[in-house]
Amino acid sequence: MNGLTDFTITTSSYGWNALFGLSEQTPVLVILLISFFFFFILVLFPLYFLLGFFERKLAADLQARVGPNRTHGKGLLQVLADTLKLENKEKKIETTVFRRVSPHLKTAALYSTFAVLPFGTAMIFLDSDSSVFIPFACFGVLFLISLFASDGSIDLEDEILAHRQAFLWLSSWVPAMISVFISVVRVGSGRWSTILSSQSHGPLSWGVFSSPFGFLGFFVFLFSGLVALQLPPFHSIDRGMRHRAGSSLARFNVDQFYSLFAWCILASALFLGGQHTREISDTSFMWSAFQLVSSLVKASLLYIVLRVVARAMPQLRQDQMTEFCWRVLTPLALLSLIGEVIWAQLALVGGSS
Amino acid sequence: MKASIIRSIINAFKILFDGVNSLIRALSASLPYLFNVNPNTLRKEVTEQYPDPVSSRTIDDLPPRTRGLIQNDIEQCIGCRDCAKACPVDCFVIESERLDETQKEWVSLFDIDHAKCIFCGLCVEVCPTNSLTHSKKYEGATQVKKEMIESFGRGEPPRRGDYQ
Amino acid sequence: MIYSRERLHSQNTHLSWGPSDPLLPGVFKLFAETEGDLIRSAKIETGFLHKGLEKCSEKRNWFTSMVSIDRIEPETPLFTELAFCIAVEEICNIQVPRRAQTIRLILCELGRVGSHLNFLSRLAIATGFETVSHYIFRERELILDLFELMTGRRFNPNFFRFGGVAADITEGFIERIHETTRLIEIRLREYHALMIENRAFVDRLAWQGILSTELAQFKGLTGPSARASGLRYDVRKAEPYSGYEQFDFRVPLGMGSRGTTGDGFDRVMVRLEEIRESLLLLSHAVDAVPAGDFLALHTQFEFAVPAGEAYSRVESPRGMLACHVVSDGGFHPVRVQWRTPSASNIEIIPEILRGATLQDLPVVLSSFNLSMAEVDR
Repeated sequence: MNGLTDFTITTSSYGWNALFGLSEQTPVLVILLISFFFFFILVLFPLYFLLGFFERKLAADLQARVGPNRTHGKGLLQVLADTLKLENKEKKIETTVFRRVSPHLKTAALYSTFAVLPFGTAMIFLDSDSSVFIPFACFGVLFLISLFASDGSIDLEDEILAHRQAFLWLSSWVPAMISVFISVVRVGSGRWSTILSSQSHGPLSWGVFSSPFGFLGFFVFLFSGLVALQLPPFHSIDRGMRHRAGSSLARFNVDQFYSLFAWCILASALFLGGQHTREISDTSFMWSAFQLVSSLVKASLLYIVLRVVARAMPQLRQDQMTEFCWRVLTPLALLSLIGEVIWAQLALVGGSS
Repeated sequence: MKASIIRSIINAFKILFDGVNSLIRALSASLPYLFNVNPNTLRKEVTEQYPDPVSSRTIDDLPPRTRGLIQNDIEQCIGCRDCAKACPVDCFVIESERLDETQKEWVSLFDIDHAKCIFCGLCVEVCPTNSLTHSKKYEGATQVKKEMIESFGRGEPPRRGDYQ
Repeated sequence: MIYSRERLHSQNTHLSWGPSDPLLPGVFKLFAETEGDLIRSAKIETGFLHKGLEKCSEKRNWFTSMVSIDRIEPETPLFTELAFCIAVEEICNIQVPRRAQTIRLILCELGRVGSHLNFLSRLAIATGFETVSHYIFRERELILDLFELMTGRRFNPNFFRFGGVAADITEGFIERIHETTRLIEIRLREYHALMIENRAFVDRLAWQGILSTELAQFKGLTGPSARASGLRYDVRKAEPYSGYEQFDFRVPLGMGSRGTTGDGFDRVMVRLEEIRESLLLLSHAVDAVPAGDFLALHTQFEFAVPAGEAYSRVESPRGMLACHVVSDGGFHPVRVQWRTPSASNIEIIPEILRGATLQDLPVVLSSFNLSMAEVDR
């Protein structure tokens, strides 16, 4: 497995070229910028509004209520209306320069993870042999930024909870990384394009159905994501929302949506097969668009299911969550990894003989 | 040492099993609402959207004893002022005089201030002629406080000579 | 290092919540001395909801004082009315007819079911379980509709009078009660699956806020919170009133089924069991309403109570509610003093919070079913 130590950085982003109709000679940076703006404006915000509405409507149906039904007849533009309303509120004036700048720094750091998300075999900007670990490294760096460069909470309680959150992140990061290893072991390489192509032979070749350990690994990955991102049902009293008002609250909501959505894209790429089976042509517009749409659809469905199912459960305390991660998720992830290694070896032996 | 490791492993699996069990139970109890199973009896949304669209229940659906806004049948009223004495919040303003011709009370001013009324129903209970009753109306909100005073009085009594 | 002891605030620091805070179950101030995440000691300050209702009762005459009595506990007004009526009937030596007693019993048990449902819903919100909270409020609507059918109002019914009740049973009331009882029993099974068999919910409550029997007795706790700690005292069994002696019902005690006796989970279980017992009692009582008058004497606003005083005790959903009525023969009460269960139960908070984590705070506080309106009157 010397592929994992190969640090040459390659990009497989010619899918994005095909999507925008640009030639293959265009510099990667230009493509990155164009695709970033495209994603941000034409994909992220519409998805935020649409998925936010569906999440609220389905959660309301679950709770025997009506849910949003006023805006635009059926309530479809509810989240847009809320965001616009929040933008129009009075802005909080911060005192120090650092406090004014750090939320923007954090947002910029968060959205920079776009460059390492896999949207398809040919739509990855960073495709080395260990590229599957890079998004998690990015999220880890973000966590460190938020820990050491915090806004400087005014409230003592918030500081205590922030310290707890730091350890919570660490304790959920470990099972997530182990479950990523399960996918790597199954495929034999850490390269995004290899992982994606290996799942392209129909649903049975998806990571989640390929072996019982893949199944377990999928759920470990999802739960550790929910814990890491502090979302229900692993969501204690959100004091983080208390000091935010107006446009910073709107930004916080979009950031939260983006982080869970990015996690869902990673989950769907690792376990749910990021692309469909038939390969048309690697650089055609149709193929790239298809890949993008199918990965977004899978991530959206996963997002909706996670958010709606989370409403059916009560919420835990933070120390219970930490305990859950260390006592249940991590051993389970380790066991699944060992099982997957054995399974892969048996498959190799069975295949060769 | 070994036994405690095994015990903690078993405990971890027990937690996992309990967790999955709880999730399945929670979902089986709440997901039927999402898919609208058995919509007529137990699984229906309970929100009454009011006032737009108007609620499926009208005023006539309210039970007969509902204590809504107070109304007075001024023909029956004898001006005894029992209601004003009974009212805990003094929301009645009553003026009346006895007409010499008919020997009956003419209630010239009978104002109920609905802003003060607490809908306790004591005035209705003590009214000897049952002229004061609860209507079933409950929508009394206005934007001007003076509009909440409802007048039932008959105004100026007819003068001697007009009453033939 | 970035994190020194002072930076981490790991020595004792002082925090305060309130008076209006989404964490607290009501309007009061809570001061806590914390060490990191643990609360070392706590102190409460009440009085923010003081309305002077005891003085208001003195201002009005006997006939209209019922409206002040109603508002002492807005969620369960019928129990305060009942306590007041029993006390005045004792002074005046009025014999309440059997039919009126049974009607009072029926309405009080309905109120008890409604109050326990309210408690469950609020506890569900405190643990972050909004789904169940919406379902439970739907059941409470049925009970409020029943109140409207019988008394005319959902809250502040102003229905009990000295010597009976204000009006007889409406037609359709008994059938509706049977229907409602049946429906709530079906739903109770649903809540059982959603809450009691849910590991996450149980983990939030079991072993949290443990209240020992000795401490409950020492502080004078009553009601389901005390019975969950093993203190067996229910006014309906100890000093029966208003016809409770004819009916056979069980008073549930805390068993320590998921944690230990007296923890938060036991308080929830005891109240769930009490809902079941009340529903059984309701269905028996409604079938056995005796014929007769619903009111012994008709009082007007010039009703004068002879001189004397009386003390009546009633089992409200929160605990023992007692009323001391003093009269000097006039048209106004001289003194109406209330011993409300929440006023005594709230004294347990400083003891209970010692050793709890900050995140346990809303759950542990909500599990005692305190009402600030009762505490401050």
